[in-house]
Amino acid sequence: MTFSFFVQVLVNGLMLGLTYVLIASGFSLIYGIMRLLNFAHGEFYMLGAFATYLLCEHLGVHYFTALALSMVIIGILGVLVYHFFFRPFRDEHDPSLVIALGIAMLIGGLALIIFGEKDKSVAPVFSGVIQVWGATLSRERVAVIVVAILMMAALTLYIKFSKTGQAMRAVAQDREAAALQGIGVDSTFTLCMGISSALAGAAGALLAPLFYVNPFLGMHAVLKALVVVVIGGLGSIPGAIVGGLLLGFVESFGNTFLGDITEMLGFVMVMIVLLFRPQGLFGHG
Amino acid sequence: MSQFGKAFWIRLAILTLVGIFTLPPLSPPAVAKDLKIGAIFPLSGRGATWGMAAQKAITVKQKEVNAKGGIKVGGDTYKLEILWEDDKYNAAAGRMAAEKLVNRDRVKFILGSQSSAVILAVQPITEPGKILFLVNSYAKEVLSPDKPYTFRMVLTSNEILQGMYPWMSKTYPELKAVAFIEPNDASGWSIEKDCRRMAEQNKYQVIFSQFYERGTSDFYPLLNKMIAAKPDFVDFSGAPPGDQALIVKQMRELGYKGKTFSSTTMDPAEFCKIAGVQNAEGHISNTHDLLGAYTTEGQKKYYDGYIAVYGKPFDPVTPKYQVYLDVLLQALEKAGTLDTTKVMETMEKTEEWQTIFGPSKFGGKEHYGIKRQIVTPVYISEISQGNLINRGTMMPVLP
Repeated sequence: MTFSFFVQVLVNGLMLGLTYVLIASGFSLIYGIMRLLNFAHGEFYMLGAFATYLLCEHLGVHYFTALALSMVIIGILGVLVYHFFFRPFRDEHDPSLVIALGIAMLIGGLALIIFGEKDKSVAPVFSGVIQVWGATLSRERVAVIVVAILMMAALTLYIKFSKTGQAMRAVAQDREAAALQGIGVDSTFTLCMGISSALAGAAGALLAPLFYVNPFLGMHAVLKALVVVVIGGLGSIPGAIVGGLLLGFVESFGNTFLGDITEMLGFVMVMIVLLFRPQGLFGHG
Repeated sequence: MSQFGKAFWIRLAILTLVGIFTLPPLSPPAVAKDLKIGAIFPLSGRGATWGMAAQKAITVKQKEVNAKGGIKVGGDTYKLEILWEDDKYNAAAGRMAAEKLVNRDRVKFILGSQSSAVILAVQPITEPGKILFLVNSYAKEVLSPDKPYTFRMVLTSNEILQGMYPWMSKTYPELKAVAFIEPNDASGWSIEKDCRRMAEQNKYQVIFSQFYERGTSDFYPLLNKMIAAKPDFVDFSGAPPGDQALIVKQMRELGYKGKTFSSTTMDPAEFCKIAGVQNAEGHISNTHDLLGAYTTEGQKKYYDGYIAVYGKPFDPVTPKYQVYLDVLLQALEKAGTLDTTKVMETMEKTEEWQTIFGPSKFGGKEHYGIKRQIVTPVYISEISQGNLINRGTMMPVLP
């Protein structure tokens, strides 16, 4: 194996991993704060991609404006879904899970009716490729890598240092104690749902020009997100980042050296993590 | 008015009334009955591109037939009623749909799925129930001597590749090594097997073959390895059209310069939009430009019918699904009955059918063990500057 080939495998893993991080971070955030496995998260990702497609391809909006607008639109949609569907069952785990699955199916079905079954594409913003130590990477992918790293850094800083971020952590640790300290649990949940949905929207918007857009993107995305957060630790943002990158590198090296069985590796990792550290790499016991 | 005249008119009125109430009624106008036909296709899920293409093609034919008053079977006229069921590209959902169609709706004819898994799950209902099941999917085991009520209405990779690989070897003799990228499921495995056999028969060296999970959108890791193997051309016949375009885009980004090839149909506009016009240049596929060369009257008529129902743009993936009703309706008219065994026998015995692609027939006794595979022409096209160019046509030999 040449050095450039090895670098290419590494770069592929980084890109793949960041894709998973983008999708899984919002999924993990919701679980960490609301204790909700939001299976509709993948559908928000799909809707983010469609919002960008409609804004760019039909309304002629510039891509970066469309990215910001998609985040806002999907964030608002997430808040509405929380308000009308999740809030009435806030403290009930099983009904929330069923509702999340129902919403995922509803959104997927409606998207199929509205947008049709065909794959759509968003025109690339950057064209051409660059060489990094002999490895090839399209400029589009470099842009996604940069934006994804910036977004993850911003999210981590926000949760760590902002007042509302600290409120989220307090609610995650002990909901009742946080309420006794004057933190509005409901408003924190609303904010959390808005941010995580906006993150899913951003992931969809960022990846739309790279891949294609269709109503079936959601389920595959949410399955990957689930694998990532189980490895990283349910509810942990650093866990989602490490888990996503780990899965990306494992899949990239697996594809290169093991071939067809690569897809199983993620699940093997999940089993190993559950056996030796059931709370995940960064989760709390 | 004179006395005579008044009496005449009164008598005439009475006679008319008596006539109306006493004469036997005239024979009533022939009222068309409904012929219920089940249709199980993937209308959602990853196979929806094909399922919805099938729905469009079948609906165009249904509207055409019903607008003419229906079809004549024996002494009766029937309007077509298609009962659509979504199998979600999933065997369990397909089986449930078949149970519903057979037990609740009492259909005798089912137009079947795109997925081999669905078809294999439905056949235990259709074969014992003597339900005529017209299907599409690539797996060889869908057709076998113990499944006489199943007919395959679309060419599989086995028949298509028979035409495409020799054409490839004749047109591009400098290409020697081939790579395969297929989805990791029953369809992908079956297609890879056909591709490998056909490539080896045509003296190609298979230097790379890998399966990928459906839903994958980042093919860089797989392509990185494939490009290192240095194939002259890449065949991804089993991948859905969107995946094919994405693979082409990403392999060009990684610097691959060889040919790309697929034995399936795709929409060139959609393909070029995802892959990029430059990247798609020279892509070879089994897609037929209906307004280009080799166009039959049936194809022109279908094109107009499609535009009348769905408007532009035309979807070039749809025409092959027209064959389902093309053949079934001729078989019903020919058999003169709705008895499925008689219709099945008619389909088996009839040597030539008029389809959208011109005269077609059933074959496959040698390869499948039963003569149930439709044989229609194979079209070969290449993308040139974003447009589809017809490059050749041939009739597969299927004893």
